[in-house]
Amino acid sequence: MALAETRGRISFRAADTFSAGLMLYELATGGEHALPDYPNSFRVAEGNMISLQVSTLAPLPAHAPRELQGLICSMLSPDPRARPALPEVLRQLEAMAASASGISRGGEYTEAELARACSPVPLPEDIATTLRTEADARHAQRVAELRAAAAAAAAVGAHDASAAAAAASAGAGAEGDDGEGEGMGMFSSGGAVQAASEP
Amino acid sequence: MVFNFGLGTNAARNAYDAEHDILSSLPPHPNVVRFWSQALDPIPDEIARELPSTVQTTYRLASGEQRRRKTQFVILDYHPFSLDAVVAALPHPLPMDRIVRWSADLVRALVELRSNGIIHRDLKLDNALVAEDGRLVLCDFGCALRLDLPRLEQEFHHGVSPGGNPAHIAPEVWNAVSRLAKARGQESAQLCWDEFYAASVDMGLPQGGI
Repeated sequence: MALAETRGRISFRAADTFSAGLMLYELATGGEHALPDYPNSFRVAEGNMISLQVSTLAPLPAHAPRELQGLICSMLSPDPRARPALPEVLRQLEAMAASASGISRGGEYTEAELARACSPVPLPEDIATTLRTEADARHAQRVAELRAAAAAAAAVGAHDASAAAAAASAGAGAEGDDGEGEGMGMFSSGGAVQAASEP
Repeated sequence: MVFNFGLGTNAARNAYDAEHDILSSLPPHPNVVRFWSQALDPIPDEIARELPSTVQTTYRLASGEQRRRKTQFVILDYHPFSLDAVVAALPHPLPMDRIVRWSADLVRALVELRSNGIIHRDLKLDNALVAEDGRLVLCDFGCALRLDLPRLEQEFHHGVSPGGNPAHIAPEVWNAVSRLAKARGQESAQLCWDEFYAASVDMGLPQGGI
């Protein structure tokens, strides 16, 4: 097949809207994917293409407003041109936030009301404490691994770079970002440190 | 928060370029992680002194090895929780007002990106943080693209993947990549500039609006 025959339109414009729709569904369901086993279970034999039907979307939990289900369905439309523009998505979400916070005036809200309805709510203290404790434990483990790697590197000689690299690799990466970021890592307060890895 | 990029691979180079170029160009926004600085290892003392003590500890321990490599850092605002971990830790079902607030935060971030001609391309719970005040903050711009022809040409020099997490990539992007792969007789494809351009891509350039 000549390249010209592949001519088509890759619409990056609405690709983020689709992904955001999946995220909204995950938030509403506590982490469930809206389209289980996507993309593999949606592939059709010919050309490894994906065929998506929005009707395959499992319903949201009962306490979710109907408007949210409808909004997510539209964001997951197989046709990128049918997905709503992001400002419209935001307008609908702000209206839902106002309604969820007890303001209900038929969709007409002042900016102050929307700002109040969308103002952040800190996490419950017990949850925040648990998450901080877990992060501290990961950090302590990572520090111990790095100290062990540094000691091992010193033992084999500071000038033996390959041995030092091997030692560092042995202590690397207690928590990665699912492996996609080869050669990348993070030093975060209370979080993981992933040593950079060369290919 | 400090991200380090060992620049030995094209993927790492592209991710660093995206993270640095895009985040450093954005005005501060409450729902987008804030860029502070970049540094080639070692991190300058005046920046290192400002890092949280736990970061300083791990940096000092790890950087001895990494200093032998070509490593670049970006320094970003620190937010303590990943949205993924928070959603897993909170009792279910989550209160609807919290779901809708975080959803609005996410979309507010995307509207801001789009108004600056940027698409994220790796949206997932893992790539959002929760700030101390409970706000959602979008992060990880390693797959992001600026919808600007000269920059796209530059960024596509090494080939760009269709996006981040396969389970969150839009079907039209998958299908475009499949068409390219089939044209090449391969099972998978990266998008290279000539093919990208030849395929009459609708890039969502700013004149098309949002």
